[in-house]
Amino acid sequence: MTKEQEFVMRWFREYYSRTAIAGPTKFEQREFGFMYFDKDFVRRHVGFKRPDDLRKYLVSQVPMHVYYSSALYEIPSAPKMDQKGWLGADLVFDLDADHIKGAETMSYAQMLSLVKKDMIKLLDDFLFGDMGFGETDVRLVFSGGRGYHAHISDEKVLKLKSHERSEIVDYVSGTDLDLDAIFPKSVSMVKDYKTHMKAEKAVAMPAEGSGGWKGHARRTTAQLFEELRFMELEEVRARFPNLSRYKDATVLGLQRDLFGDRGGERLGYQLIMENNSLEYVSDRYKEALLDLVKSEVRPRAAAEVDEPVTRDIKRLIRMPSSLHGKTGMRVIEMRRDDLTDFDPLRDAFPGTFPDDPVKVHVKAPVDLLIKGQRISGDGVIEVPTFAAMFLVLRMKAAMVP
Amino acid sequence: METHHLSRYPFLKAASELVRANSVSLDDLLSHPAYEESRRRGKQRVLDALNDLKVGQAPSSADDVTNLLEVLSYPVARVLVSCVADEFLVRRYALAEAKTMNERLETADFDVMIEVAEDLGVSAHLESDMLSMHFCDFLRYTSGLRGKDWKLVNHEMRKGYVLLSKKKFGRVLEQALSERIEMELPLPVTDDIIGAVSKDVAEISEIVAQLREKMRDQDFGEITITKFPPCMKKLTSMAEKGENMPHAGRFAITTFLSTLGMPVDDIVKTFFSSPDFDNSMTVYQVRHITGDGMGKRYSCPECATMRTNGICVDMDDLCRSGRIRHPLGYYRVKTMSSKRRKDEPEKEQKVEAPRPA
Repeated sequence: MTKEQEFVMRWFREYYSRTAIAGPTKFEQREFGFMYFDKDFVRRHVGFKRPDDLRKYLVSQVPMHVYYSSALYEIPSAPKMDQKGWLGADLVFDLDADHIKGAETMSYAQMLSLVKKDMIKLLDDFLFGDMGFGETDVRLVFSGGRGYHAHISDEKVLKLKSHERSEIVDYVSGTDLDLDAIFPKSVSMVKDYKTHMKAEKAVAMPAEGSGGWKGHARRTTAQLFEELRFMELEEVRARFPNLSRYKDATVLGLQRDLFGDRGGERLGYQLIMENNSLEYVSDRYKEALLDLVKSEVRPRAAAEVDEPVTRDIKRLIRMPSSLHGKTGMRVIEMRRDDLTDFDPLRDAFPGTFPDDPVKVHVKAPVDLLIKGQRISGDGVIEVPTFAAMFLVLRMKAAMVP
Repeated sequence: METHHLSRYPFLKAASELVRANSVSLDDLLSHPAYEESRRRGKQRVLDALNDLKVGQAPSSADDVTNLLEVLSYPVARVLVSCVADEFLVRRYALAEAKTMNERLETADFDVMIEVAEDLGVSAHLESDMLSMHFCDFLRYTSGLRGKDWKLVNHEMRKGYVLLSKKKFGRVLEQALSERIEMELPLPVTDDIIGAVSKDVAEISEIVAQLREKMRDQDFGEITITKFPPCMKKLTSMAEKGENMPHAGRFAITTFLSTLGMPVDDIVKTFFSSPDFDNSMTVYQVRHITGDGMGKRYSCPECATMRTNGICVDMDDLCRSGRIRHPLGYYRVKTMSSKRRKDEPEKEQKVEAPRPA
């Protein structure tokens, strides 16, 4: 065993022996799985009768990662999947930094704050919002690594099959969303020219109080109006590449129609929101407005969850209150209110990791804020034990004797 | 509860309570002269299901006795179907009951729709003249209904409830009832019961056999690769050349060939030259996909799914014509047009003759 393994396992063992592990609901119907610091294999198909049996296992084996099944089984320890007797599975959502554009160039803290924003969107707009789950129905979990999970064990969802769960993913990510149905066009007037006929089409917009994606589309539109209102042309150009095929005159005209004085008490954009119709913008600019709104709805309103995780009804997922073997952080279950101010590097290291200084050799310069302490330097540095755990596990730092 | 209402929806729990309240025994129902009409209508339910995919007209009567007799025709029909115990009959009967219910719901009030929904285990709401159901129930019963129109994302969802038009709401309930009846049947039957209805059972079995025969005739005929859509041609040639195929491709070609009626062994042979060919594995996979034996039979993916999986290739004019939404549809169209060519060669020629400029 390497010095690093010895060091890390010592403090993992300390944590498991001093911590009450609640374990998942319907404990005896779950399958458990483990990965280790000192063994190369994955051990799964393990079942425990009581939480205390699991705790004893954790203290004696000190696994690197602890997983349990989102599924419930008659015989969770049966060695083959078809012998287990599937009874249902929690509905699970996984939001991970992998899905964030440009995550490679971000710091861990930046990455996680972006994932958190997405998680808040998933919770407030979709799980609590459109899907109507109550706060107590959703178990919200920081994964200890690069993201968050949400578990729902409501009776209604337990029996959903894979492709039905995919539909839920499509819902929250806006996949195959029919935007033409959200902003429907109807013929408002037919003009008869000498050479041809031309039909004018009125575009409607979802009414106040609309639910689901109609509601999301309406809120996106309102948001866009707020932003566009005080933007200079250059800003509009930089911010909305989707408008690039329209001339400057069109963009300026659109802004004038939306925000310019039109003689009445109300401005164009206010009339649009009040009357649920884009008809307060002249026909010359309407297409540009519609293009812009349509292109912004999905990216702004969707929550990018990891499809395979939600889809899989036999998946192993990280167990709350275990430790993440690549960061040393706790997998923390929390309430929605706690999420707003949650900062993993400050809040997720267990109290059982002491402050005692330890010398480690880092491979590249570090500059981090861990538990409110600045950890910086290069080469051999002396840091508190909790920070050393993170540096060894995540940054591959070496112990210095 | 109004008995007329129950005679229209005899699968409701309230209907079986009515039967219990009138203490009609199964014995009496199957042999007592008083229930002659129920037995006649019960048999009619099954025959109509086989012939028209309906279960006939409910009497429009305010008379409680007539209505009770109609309600009782439902358990009679179920007993008959259970005695025949044929998978095809069960499916067809279940679908017929469900379609008839849906048809009757078209003229029903919202509160009847809600009542039927709840009876079928679908959580439903009525809010300011809008019907809605819990999204989990919606997903459960619409997973077989593909296409943009049935995607959850394209429905308005409020607090867990999906708003639906009356028509769509009824369509989901149709699926729910059909699945429920398919799950319930066949009921266990004793020799006494079989004895009591043996004449009707023999008659129904005969019709089932004939119908199956007829369905076979409507088959796709001899399998001809020239009628394959471009995607399946491509997959077949990949298999023959032994090029490695993505899993989705194997799945698609297997389900496609199986639906056309190709036996498992022949499908396996198609994969012979695959580089990773493993006979027992291939047999196992093909069996699994085609539901050989009693398992679930998978259907061939539609064009949209083929596109999603990146195996919709070399689209031709027919693919692009807007008529084709499924690889099997392509094959059917080709089969029909080649039949027509055989039957009416001249007419076909006329259509194809180039017009003078």
